This record gives sequence, structure tokens and C-alpha cells, in this order.
Amino acid sequence: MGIRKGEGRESAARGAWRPDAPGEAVFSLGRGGAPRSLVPFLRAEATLRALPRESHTLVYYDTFDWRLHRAGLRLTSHEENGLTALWLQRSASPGEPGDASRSRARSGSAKGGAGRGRPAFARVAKLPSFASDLPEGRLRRRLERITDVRRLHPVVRIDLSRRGYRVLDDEQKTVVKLVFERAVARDPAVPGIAAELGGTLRVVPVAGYRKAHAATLRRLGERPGIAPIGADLASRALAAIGREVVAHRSELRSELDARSPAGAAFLSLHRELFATMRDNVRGIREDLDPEHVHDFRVAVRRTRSLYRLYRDLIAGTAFEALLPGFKWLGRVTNPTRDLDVHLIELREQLAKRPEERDALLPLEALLREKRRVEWERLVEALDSSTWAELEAAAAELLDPPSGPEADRVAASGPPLGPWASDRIVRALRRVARHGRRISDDSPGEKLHELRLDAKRLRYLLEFFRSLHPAEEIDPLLKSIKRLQQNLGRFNDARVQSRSLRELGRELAAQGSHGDALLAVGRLVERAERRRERERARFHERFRRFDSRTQRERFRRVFAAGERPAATPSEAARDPAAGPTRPAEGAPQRGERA
Amino acid sequence: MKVYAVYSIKGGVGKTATAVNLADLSARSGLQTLLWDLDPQAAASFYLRVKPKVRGGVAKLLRGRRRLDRWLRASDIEGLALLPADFSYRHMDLELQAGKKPRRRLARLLEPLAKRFDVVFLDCPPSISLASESVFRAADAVVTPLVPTPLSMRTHVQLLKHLGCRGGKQARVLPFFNLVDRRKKLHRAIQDAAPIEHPDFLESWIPYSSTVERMGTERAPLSAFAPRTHPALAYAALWDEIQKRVPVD
Repeated sequence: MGIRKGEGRESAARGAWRPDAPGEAVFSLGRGGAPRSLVPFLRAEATLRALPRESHTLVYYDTFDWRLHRAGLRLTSHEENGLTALWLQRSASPGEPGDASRSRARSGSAKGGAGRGRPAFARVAKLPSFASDLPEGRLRRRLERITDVRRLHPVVRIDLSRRGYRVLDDEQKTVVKLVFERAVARDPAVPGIAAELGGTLRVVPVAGYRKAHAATLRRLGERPGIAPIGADLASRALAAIGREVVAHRSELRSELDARSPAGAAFLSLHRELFATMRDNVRGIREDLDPEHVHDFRVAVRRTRSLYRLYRDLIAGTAFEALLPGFKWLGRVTNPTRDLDVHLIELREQLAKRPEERDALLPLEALLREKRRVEWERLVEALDSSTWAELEAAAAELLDPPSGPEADRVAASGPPLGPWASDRIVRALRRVARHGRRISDDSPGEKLHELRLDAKRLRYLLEFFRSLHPAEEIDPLLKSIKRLQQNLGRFNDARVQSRSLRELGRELAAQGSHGDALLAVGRLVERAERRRERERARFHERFRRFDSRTQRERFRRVFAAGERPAATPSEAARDPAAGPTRPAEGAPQRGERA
Repeated sequence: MKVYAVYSIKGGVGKTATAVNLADLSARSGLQTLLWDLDPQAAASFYLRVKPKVRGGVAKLLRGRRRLDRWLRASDIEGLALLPADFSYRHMDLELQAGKKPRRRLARLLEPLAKRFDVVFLDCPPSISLASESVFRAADAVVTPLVPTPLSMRTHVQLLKHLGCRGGKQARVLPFFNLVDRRKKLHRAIQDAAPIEHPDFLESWIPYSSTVERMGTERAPLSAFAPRTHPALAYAALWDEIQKRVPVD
């Protein structure tokens, strides 16, 4: 019969023990709830048959920024017969994003409602570091969508001991399963931390026997000393070992005041960026996720951009002395990040073409080795006195209570609002001027320079975002991000094709197999094609960024204030000065006619 | 999802024991399995200790407004669900007749279950009727137990002729010998001659055994109470051979 192949069945999952199955009711067992007294209490109304004792060890995984938790999902591993069973399912905790109780209530079945809520399963020999390490299948597809390039690491380990009972009807058929459970939660990162979770009773429904499940729950409701638990096992375990789910944000949060002196913004932005650097140091040292190096580096670059912006204001102050330190930080983080980008790109390529995996193993090994060496150097740098001194000097200036030097900077400068608008408009003019000069024959270097201009503009918009309503500034940020994305991809492809050639030569020198070299050759070819594609897209992207609508938007937001008058030559090129611009659609310098 | 109908025109040839044991083996091998007890006598439901009751009866079930999931019951075997029998199944022909495209009805009802199950077994009542026509349409394979007697062989030929006359998609017929008593000369003669006359016969055969009859008192498939006995091993070989002929996706 023409029934299509069942997508998403969990056939291989049979026998794999799964925590927090949908429809289960969980009770905490207080004093009145010891199995010794509770089993006879339940036996008075139903036939119970004991099952053998079991013990399990479960490990919950997440990304450092709790992406799975925030998506309402749990990823659990469970060892069985030398293999690891991995489950991805919705969190059973009410109120959390994945709370399955609502969909269950609607569908009325133990299977749960929406397809998205169906658990995904895989058996693996080796635990994956990234979603892309998993074998092809639903689990990998779902995980990749959520975790992207984030590393998965264990957040809590749970040792469970369980004793089950079957509740039988008059046909001796199981109609409900009862499971008494004791659990110890451990912090995988800190061996000493362990906490007992206390006894629980799970009342597991059996499909087709809803009434029996309801009757058991009613009976248990009559018993004092036991109380229903809302939170799922992972939530309880995380709480027990004191692990907090901390939201991770990389965007700036400083709320600035347009009427305050410009220097005040310097101080609050600097504080925030410095705090981001410090927050990521632990993650870099423990290599929890490549994102820590990235966030650290972005904070360093934003700081340097901030220094450039305020160079007149901070000239001669103690802040000026910190700048070489931040430049040094930029240098020491570069190689690790470059290799991370390489590895991420390689993983994406492998996800698209799994058949090339074997041939690219030597390249992956080489990249990993190089990355390990660079990361060790980076950790050394963070252990060095240079960082310690820089950190101490910055803390001295920035940590509250602020000293006279910081106060002086904070009180200096013109009012922030108009000053910031002026800086943004200048940066915008620069991007527009340089962008229009780019033609099909311009060297790649010119696009790279434009990328840096665009980045400066983006940082400025991000610094002063809080001075304007989100609905006004966000479309502008979006348009610059889009342009920057194109320029960034072009640059990445350019750099990659160059460094892949270099890596290919290294592999050849190491005596790698011909297949490995051919595979690297194909990667170079693809990088070149990407570079050409992005290059071809540039004019269209830039035209959109430099369109009349965008110019008017910029003018509305930034030119309305008291802006120092532009010189006549500047005004002619000023994208914010709408009416003087050439008509939309007319060929402009650098634009393909 | 593959649908295997266990079917015979004759009664008492061991259809239900076959359906229950094959479904059990399928579930134990890790396949999500459904057994639909279509026989109003409800023997499969009895073996799995499920009360033969379908709320709303066959009329509501066949109407197809609700998905079959609603009536499913988990058996005590991990991975095996049962759609129980109901006494109203005796009117299945009438109910099918009342609806549109009665021959396609069962296939339509089973379709949505493909997301949930790898394998479906249909334990069919002994008859040749509109219901069996609908079964043939829904099934990928028709597993036919035959006792090695002349009458059985005659009905088998009748079945093949009948299926050959039907148009449309053809389910694969997989006949095998059941309740074989090698002490009987007749059984031996028919069984030994079969490969020449009927090359489509499966090689595996199930011996006549009181162990299989004990399923009625144990109310469980063989693997639960007599896993290493001759008939249990014979069923396992039969399931392997069926999967080779008509593989599960």
C-alpha cells in the first residue's frame, strides 16, 4: 500500500530509557511517601506487581548560553550497552517555554501534540561536541537549528535509582506504571558538588488507559505528605547544584542620556565592554565555546573604536595609557578566532557534503591542532602579567566608585545627543563616499577598507542606539548589517581561499594522501566562487544601503538635531542631505550602469 | 510503514497466534508495531489481555472523522500497540458498504499512522468479503497460514485465483505451513511436494505444538513464556523470512 515512509519515527529508540516521558505526573515524597508505606496504601485499591530495581546515569547538555533551555528543550544522554542514547525533548516543567502540558491537554494523548514537540533520538558511540558531529537524522537537524555553531557541554549529571511497579486491571494487564525514584545531581565541571534530590514517584500513563491514570492520581491525592512537582528532573537537578540559567547577550545595554556630556557615554560604554571582556575570560580559559573568544574580541574592538571616537576627550588622561593594552588584546585573540571561523566553515561544508568527511579529516585535524596551539597561546596571554596589569589598571579607572580621573572625563565634552548624531553622520558619509568609488575593477583591498568603514558606522549606531526609539534606529542598523554581511562574506572567502592554499601546502609537506589534497582544492574552489558571488552582489547591496529611502531615514534620525553645518563640498556628497542627492536610479560613480 | 495482513479464508489455521507472535517479534526487534485485531472473536485482544472494546463501535471507527490513535492501547510489550477488536466488527461489511470507496477504507484509515509505526499487522477474520477486499488493498503482504491438508491447498489456490482477478495494486501473498505434524504421512507428503507446485511458499513452517496452545492460558506471546522452544524459534525464522521477502522500510 502506498503509505509513505514514516518520517521521524523513533523506532531505534525502543528500549532506550527516557526521562520525563510526556504525560507523567511526578510527586515529591515527603515523610508519608516512603515506598514502604505508599505501596500497601495503593495496593488496597489495585493490583500492583513489582519490577526489578534499576539504576541509570543521565547527563543533560546545553550550550554555554543555554540555547536549548531557552527553547524549552532538554538534551539528555544515557549510557546503555556501551552506546550513548541521546534524547531531545521538550521540557516538562510548566511555565518553561517547552512546557508540554498544554499540547498534551489539547491532543489528549500521551504522544503529545505538534510534530515539533515529538522527541528526537539517536544512538552514538561518541558524545558530540557540536550538533554537526551527530549522524544525519532528525536529532541533528533539530539541534543544528537551535545550537548552530555552539558547543554542547554537560550542565548536570544525575545518578538515578528506580523501583517500578505495574498497576494491573482485572485482566492482569498493565494500566498504569509507578516508578519510585531517588536522584543525586552532580556538577560535571566541579567534582565536589553533589546534591540529593529527594524521593519522587512518577505516575506513568499507559496509552488507552486514561481513566486508570486519573484514578491513581486521585487516590494519591488523598494521601497526605506527597505533593505534585511541576519542575522536570533537569530543572530540579540544576537548582539543587546551584547552577543558574544566565541569559547571554552580546549587544550593548547601556542606557544613555542625550543631554548628558558626551564623556558620560564613554564611561558607561567602556564599563560595559570591559565587563564583557571579563565575563568571557573563564569561558576562553576553559574553552567552553568558540563564542567566548568571539565575544571577547568584539568587546576589544568596540573598545578600540570607542577610544578612536573619544581620542580628543581622553587625550592626556590615564585612559590613553590603556589603549596599547587593548591593541595587544586584539592581536592575541586574532589567530584563535580565525581558526575557529575556519573550523565553523569546514563543519558547514561537511554538513552539506557528508561524503567528503573522510577526505577532509586530515585538514580538520591540522586545523584543530593549530587551533589548540593558538588557544594555548591565548590562555598564556590571559595568564600573563600584561593582562593582569591591564585588567587592574582598567578596573581602577572603571570599577565604581569612580575616581577623579573618570569623573573628569564623564563630565567633559559637548551634549551627547547632537555630538553623537554628528559622528554617525560623518561615518555614514565616509561609507557612502568610499562605497560609491568602488567599481568592478576596484581591488579587493578597497572592499576590505569599506568593510572597516561600515563596521565603524555600525559600532557607532550600536553605541548610541539607546538615544533613539528602536523603531527608528533598528531599520538603519539592519541595513548596515546587511551591507556588512556582504562585505564580511567577501572578505572571509578571500582570506579563506588564501589560507586554505597555505594549509594545503602544509598537508602536502606532511605527506597527506592525494584525496585529502584534492578535497582541500575543492574547498579553495568553493571559497573562490563564494568570493566572486559576494563581489557580484556588492553593487546591489550597496545601492540598497545608499538608496533614497535609507538616506531619508538617516536624515530623519540624525540630521534633524543641531548638527554643525557641513562644508559645501561635503554637503554635495552628504547622504543625509536628501534633496541635493542625484535622482534615484541615475547611474552613480562606482555603480554599474 | 509496512502492512502485513495475516489472512486465511479458513478458520482454525492459527492466524491469531501467528499475528500475535510476529507482532511481538517485530516490536522486540525495535520496530514500532501495531496489531489491529479485526476479528470480532477478539482472540488477539485476549492474548494481549486487552478488553475487546472500541468506543463507538466499528461505525465510528470506520467513519474516519477521528484518527485511529484514539482507540489504540499500549500492550505490555514495549513498542507494541493494539487496536482492539469489538463485537461490532461483525458488521464491518455493512459499515464499509455504507461509505464511499469501501475497498480503500482501511488503507485510508491506516495512512496517518505511518508517522508513528514501522509495521502494522492485521489479524483478519476468516471469510472472503468486502472487509477482506479492503484488507488486500491496505496490505503490502498477505501472510497466509496453511495446515498441510488437501482442503487447505484448495482454498489457497482459490485465494490466488481471486487475487489474480482483481485489478489495481497487488499485495504479495506469503503462504506458509502451520500446525504441521510431521508424524502424519499426509502432512509430510503435502509439505514435501509444495516447493515444486508452489514455489512461492515460505520455507519456514510452524510445528503443531501444545506450547502454542498455552498462549491461551499465559495470555502472552511465546517469547514471554517459552522463548527457546521449537515453535518460538520457528516463528522467529518465519519473521526473518517474511522481512526478506517484503522488507520493512
